[in-house]
Amino acid sequence: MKRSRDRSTRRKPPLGARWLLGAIAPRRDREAILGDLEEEFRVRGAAGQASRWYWAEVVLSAISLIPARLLGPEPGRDLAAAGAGLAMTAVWLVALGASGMGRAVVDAPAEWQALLATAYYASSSIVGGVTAGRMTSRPLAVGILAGGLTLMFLSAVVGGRPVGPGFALVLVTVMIGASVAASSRRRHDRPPARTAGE
Amino acid sequence: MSGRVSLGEFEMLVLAALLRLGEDGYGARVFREIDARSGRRVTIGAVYTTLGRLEKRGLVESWLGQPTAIRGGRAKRYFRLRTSGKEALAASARDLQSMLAGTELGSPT
Repeated sequence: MKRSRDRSTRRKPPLGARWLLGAIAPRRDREAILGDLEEEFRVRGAAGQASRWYWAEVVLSAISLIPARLLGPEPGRDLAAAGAGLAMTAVWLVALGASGMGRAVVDAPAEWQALLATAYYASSSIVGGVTAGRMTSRPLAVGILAGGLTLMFLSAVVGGRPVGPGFALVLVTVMIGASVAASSRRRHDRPPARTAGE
Repeated sequence: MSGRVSLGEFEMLVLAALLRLGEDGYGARVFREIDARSGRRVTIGAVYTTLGRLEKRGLVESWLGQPTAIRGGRAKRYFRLRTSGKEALAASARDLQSMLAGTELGSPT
């Protein structure tokens, strides 16, 4: 009995659904909404049934959450973040073009290309994240990791220049460390004081 | 009658749930309370969207609690009615009762 309770406490809602909910939920309530649904998920018995319920809840909640987000104060910040990320891309392109290093980058060893690509992706994400005030967000942190891995994959498969396993291991370790560090902070506030008569 | 706050049907349900829950009103509890008492299928997204709107209108207030393990280490956002919220809910309930009075759906007087 104790073992089954432990298992239910360890069980997590579907990762894809959590990501989707994290992406569409308003920034202020994101943690509370994810926590509420995780609590409800654990209350609901069998694994498959709870997962189906969780997915349905996320998809149906999107009907309310997406318009609220688009009409709320956040689109400005999200657009600013995207704009800052694109501006960072332009800075990189201009810097490479002006320094005449574009050709050199194309001909560079795969390790250097992967390192440069990761630096580009991380700088764009960080500048965008700072602009949106979301440097501690898990989606951003994992986005940096996923972007770095994608670029390494493209370099290896499309460019035909696989990076060495040792270099890849170091790069992935650094990116995971940065992701964990970036996503580990949480803030709390206190209950508002009661006013007279309430 | 000036300055009266008008409430939608779902807003009334959410405010009534908060009234019942007192100091223990947070998203999942509101969600369960409405489901259990009205039998309506509501989503957590609709509950939070409505709570956010009510908070903006000054009818409820919220604060974050402490993270708990069952919630994956995430904190609850507690909500409670402000006096203005109670008054708005009471006025809306009175309006509805008044409109139904004397009809087959009104309570016998």
